[in-house]
Amino acid sequence: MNADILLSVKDVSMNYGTGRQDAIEHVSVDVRRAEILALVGSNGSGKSTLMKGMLRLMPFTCGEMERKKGLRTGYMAQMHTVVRDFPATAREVVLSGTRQERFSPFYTKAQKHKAEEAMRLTDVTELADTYLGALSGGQMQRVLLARCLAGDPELLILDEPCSALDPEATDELLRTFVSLRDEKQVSIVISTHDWDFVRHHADRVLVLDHHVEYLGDISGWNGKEDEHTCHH
Amino acid sequence: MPSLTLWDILSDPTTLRAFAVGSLMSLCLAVMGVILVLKRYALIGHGLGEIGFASTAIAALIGLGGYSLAVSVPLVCLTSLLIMYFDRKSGMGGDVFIGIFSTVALAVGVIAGKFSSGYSMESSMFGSILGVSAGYMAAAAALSVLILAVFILLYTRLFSVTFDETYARASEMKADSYQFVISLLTSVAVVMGMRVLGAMMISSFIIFPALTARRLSGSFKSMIVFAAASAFVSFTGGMLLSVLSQLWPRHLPVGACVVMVSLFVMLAAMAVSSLKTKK
Repeated sequence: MNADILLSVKDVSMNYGTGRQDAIEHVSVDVRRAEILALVGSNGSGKSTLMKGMLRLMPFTCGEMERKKGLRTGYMAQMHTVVRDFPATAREVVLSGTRQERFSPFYTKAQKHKAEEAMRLTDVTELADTYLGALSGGQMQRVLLARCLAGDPELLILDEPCSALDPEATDELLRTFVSLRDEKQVSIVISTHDWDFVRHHADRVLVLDHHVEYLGDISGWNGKEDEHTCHH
Repeated sequence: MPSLTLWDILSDPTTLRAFAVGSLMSLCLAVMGVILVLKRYALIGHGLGEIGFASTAIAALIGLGGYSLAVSVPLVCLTSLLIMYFDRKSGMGGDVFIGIFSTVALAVGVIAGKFSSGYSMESSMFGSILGVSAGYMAAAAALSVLILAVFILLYTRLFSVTFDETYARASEMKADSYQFVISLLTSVAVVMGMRVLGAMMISSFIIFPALTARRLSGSFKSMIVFAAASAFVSFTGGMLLSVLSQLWPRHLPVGACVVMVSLFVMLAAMAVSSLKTKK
């Protein structure tokens, strides 16, 4: 695999687990180093399923995937999947994202340092000791992003990270993604309905409707923008 | 015959053994209960209790009644792994399989109990802590230390798997292995606790301390500490109540006393939490 490619899926298909209907069919795409790859498509078009396949959370029914050896990934699932009233502080959540290499009830100095740095990058340092239930939607997403960053990821897979946020929190989070790519050379695969973000910041776009409708630079896309577009 | 005093009862080696075993067991069940309640899997405690009941009846039937731990621990562990396996494979939800296994176990236990001589179904169902032998105490103490040690050692990973299992899987953490560990530790804790609280009430020690702690804590770590403290206070209170009742015309069983004290401790925690919220 080309050294510039972190992950490559070739001709993969997946179903929803029932075995009856394919969620995605014969999809091929590479994820390159330090790029933002936007996945767009209407609800149910297979974006989340493809992401779960990339993370090995769901199996492919055919095709194959190659990942850079030891690839470090971070994942933000859709917001409703996290229990908001879980009894934990933001710091506990961020620390849980650090790489755990030994068995101990305590985090090492290096892990604590990583967590602090991640919280600083996502601007949640002041919320470190706040109970999760007391965080706003935007703050919660930033804490979850900090958890991803604490694991020092090379690739972030983000499933509609802004879907439940107000325009201001959305802008703030999207700016953070861009700076992660530009300053930390993190690759980002993001599913979104936000064509403004795609147009201005994505390096490539994958338009998905169970199969690949388009993959490439946004300037080459001549089709209709998604009907669920969320402008702000 | 001179009448018994409270000191006579409290200083009796049987009472002291019961107190030591019960305290250790309550700590183990409470810390495991935090994980099970947060993962919405608390019913497993009740199911495993009934499977434990069947295993003690089977032990008596095959003439190993004196070594019930040696029969119950592997049987309950194996069944809990089977429940987890079927749950994962079918995607129907763990409660379905807990229901199937526990009712079948109850039936097996009742039938096996009828064929076993000298088997007390009542003490198996409702506990008989004062019958704890020195050998049982040593085995229970060793298992409790093992459970607590594994829990402490895996603390950070257990947090990750409990808070967000999907993320743990996506981060290449062996989430299934930790689920197995949780199942095994819970099984061992339930088997030990059955002797004290009985098969029917064991789940109270998984659920009450966790719910009490949930009301008082804002972090995972503090929830573990509060749950352990609440379990210890509830067990001590329940045990004392039961011991005191030996001086009364009606002797109250330990299991029932502990459950009632647990309930009051939880209600007190709810009241404190409401007062804090109003302020």
